[in-house]
Amino acid sequence: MLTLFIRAFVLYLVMLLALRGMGKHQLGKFQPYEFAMAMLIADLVSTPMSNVSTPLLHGVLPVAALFITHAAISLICLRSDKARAFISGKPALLINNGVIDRAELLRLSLSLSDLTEGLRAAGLLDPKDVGTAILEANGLISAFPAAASRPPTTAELNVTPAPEGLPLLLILDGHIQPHNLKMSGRGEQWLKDLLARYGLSEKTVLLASLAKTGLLHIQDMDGALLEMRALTPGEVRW
Amino acid sequence: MRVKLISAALVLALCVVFCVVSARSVFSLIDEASALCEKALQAVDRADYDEGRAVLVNIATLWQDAGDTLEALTPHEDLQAVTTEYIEALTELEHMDLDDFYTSMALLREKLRHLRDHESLRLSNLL
Repeated sequence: MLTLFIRAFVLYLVMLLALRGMGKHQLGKFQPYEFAMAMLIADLVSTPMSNVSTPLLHGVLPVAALFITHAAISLICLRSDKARAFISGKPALLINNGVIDRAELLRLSLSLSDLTEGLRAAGLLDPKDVGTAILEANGLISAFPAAASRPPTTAELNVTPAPEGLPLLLILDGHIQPHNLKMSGRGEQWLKDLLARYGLSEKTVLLASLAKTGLLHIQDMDGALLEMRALTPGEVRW
Repeated sequence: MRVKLISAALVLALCVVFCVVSARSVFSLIDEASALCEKALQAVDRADYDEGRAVLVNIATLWQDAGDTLEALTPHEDLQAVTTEYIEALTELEHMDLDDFYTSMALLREKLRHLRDHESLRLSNLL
């Protein structure tokens, strides 16, 4: 029993390492070869995991072989457009200038229901509002509204938007995040002094996030919300 | 991508080394056991039963000494099948049950050959 437990533990680590090594694609949108790889890995690992008579290496070595193959295919796909098109397929234009390409739908064996489902998943309820829809190589439908149906951009409205970007989470559940604090260009003492001005310490803060505007948004452990100016816009450097 | 390729190359090198070393150790062990089988059969053919028993004991020792390595490399059922056959052959020889002894030895050689075939890089295995 203990053997089974340890083997499961080892094989899980091997599988995790292999999937991690194959990259983030593996965890989200699958290309066809990545999908095949993920299915095979699960199957290869399951036999030695449940059967002590099968050497552990009979699971580990094939996973290693798949990892090597995956790296080779990834390299080929990166270097050659033709190979990528052959291995992963090419995106297909389903709607162009608001017109559904029926021949392309037939070629891809896609029904109109599949198309409208994909459009809804992309946030477009009415097909007449769609300007362009593409079936991506990973099987997902990307859809974009027609010019007349999309909201105007700030450039079209001649409006200068407020700076936006990644807010830095400086405190999470009472713990200062040193990496994010370093990115803000300030030190721990600066943050502690800032909090002390409002009668807070890092231990009493659930979440503190520093926006690109220089405002620090805080929620303390009791749920109280607070907003303070931490940096002037000129001091924001990330 | 560079890190991925380097790790893939590293894993490939490790796998190749491992496969070669493991195949060589399994083959040399099986070849040694097969040679001892022949020796045991020749001894029994000469009616030198003590020598035959001694050689079978040598096979048992060889197999037990390499047990840990073999268990990590080959299916345990196949190893167990070989163990069963040499124990049977030894018992039958001790009881002078020669017909059954020859049957067990034939099965033992066949199971050793099966183990070797299983590990060989051959087209039939690939297909």
